[in-house]
Amino acid sequence: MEKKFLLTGFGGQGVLLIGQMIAYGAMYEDLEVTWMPSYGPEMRGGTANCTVIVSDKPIASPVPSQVDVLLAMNEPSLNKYLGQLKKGGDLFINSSIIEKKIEGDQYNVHYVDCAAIAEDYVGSSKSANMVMLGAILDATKVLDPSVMEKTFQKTMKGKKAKFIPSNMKAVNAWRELKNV
Amino acid sequence: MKSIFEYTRGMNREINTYCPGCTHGIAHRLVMEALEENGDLGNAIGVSPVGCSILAHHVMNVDMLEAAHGRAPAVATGIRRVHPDKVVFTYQGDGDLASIGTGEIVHAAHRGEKFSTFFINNAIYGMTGGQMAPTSLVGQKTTTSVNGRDERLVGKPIRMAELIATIEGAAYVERVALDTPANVRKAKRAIQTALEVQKAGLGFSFVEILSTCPTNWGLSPVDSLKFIKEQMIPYYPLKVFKRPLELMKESK
Repeated sequence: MEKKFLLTGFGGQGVLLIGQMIAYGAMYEDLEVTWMPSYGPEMRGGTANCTVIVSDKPIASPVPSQVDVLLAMNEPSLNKYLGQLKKGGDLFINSSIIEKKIEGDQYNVHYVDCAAIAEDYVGSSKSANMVMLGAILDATKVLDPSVMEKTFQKTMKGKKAKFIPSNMKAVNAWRELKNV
Repeated sequence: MKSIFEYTRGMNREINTYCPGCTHGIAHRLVMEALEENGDLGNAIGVSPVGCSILAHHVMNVDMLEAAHGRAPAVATGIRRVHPDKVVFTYQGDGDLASIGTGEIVHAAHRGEKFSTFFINNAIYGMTGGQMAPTSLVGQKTTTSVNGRDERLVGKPIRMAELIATIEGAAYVERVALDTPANVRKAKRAIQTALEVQKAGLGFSFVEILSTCPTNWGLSPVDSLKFIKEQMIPYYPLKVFKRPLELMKESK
């Protein structure tokens, strides 16, 4: 099993954090993982993306030419990186701010209105990225969603620990709303 | 209807990626306005630093070069000597100029190189994530002085304008701030004076500009302006440290 993710957006959307959660989760499940960030010099805004590879065998290179899963949290990123998604791959689009729709059926497209779900269902607009993470985990089945509890405990300590309950709600939101 | 103020053609408005409340925007504009007013937009060559304003060449509509970290004065020396007819300036932050680049700036002043340096002092390292700078204040909390700068361990902040003013080759040295409209106007006049000194061939000109960094100070844009006034100016006084005799006759 090997899955390659390219998670893209602008600085401040929490795109790198989504990747880190997948990476830590994979480590807790004893999988091999690479996480490689890329961002511009801007302290706020600018582009931000990370490449995550999860595998049950050692990973030769953290730099894939094509990926299985592409997340586009903003439209410039969608335009820039769509070419790296392989045919038949999973495409996650942040439909809260991206209006573009994808023609044809060469990709499995998931339109996730993560900001609205975060605001209305979770009650915390800042957890939009965690809602998107939940959608990715649910569709790709790369990790057991319950492992997020452990990764949140590990990464959100001290002052950040108070966000764990809302983040857990956010990461389960997509799956729960689907089954409604 | 007569236009009494327009956005300077020296600024590219579409590409400005600085944080909300960052005074790089103001500082860039003042330099570009001064160049435009002198008719020098087509005659200027700037050198951008490493730091948040590494992107200055996206925003400033003049020919520009990037230099390695701290080396802008060395690059500007080369440019000015090869192009004696051009208006040459460096635009540098406190990491670039007061840390890794202290050798270059001191010697550019020492040789009396005829370019102008605009030094953005915001008492912190911006682009790299809010670390303590040589200009960070005693007690200031940064990512590498989490309990506040301790002068017993790392000394007091360095005052670059004062230091440069002791060097003979520095013809004009002033410190200004961008915290109020009145101070912004004074900063503009200082920048214009620096360019005049350069054009008159009188030596090296240096303007230190106290600026904000709301993102890494953890303050709102408005509180950041107060920080300049209440915390920075008491330690970094605003004044003209040195002025060529030729200009002394004009009282500002």
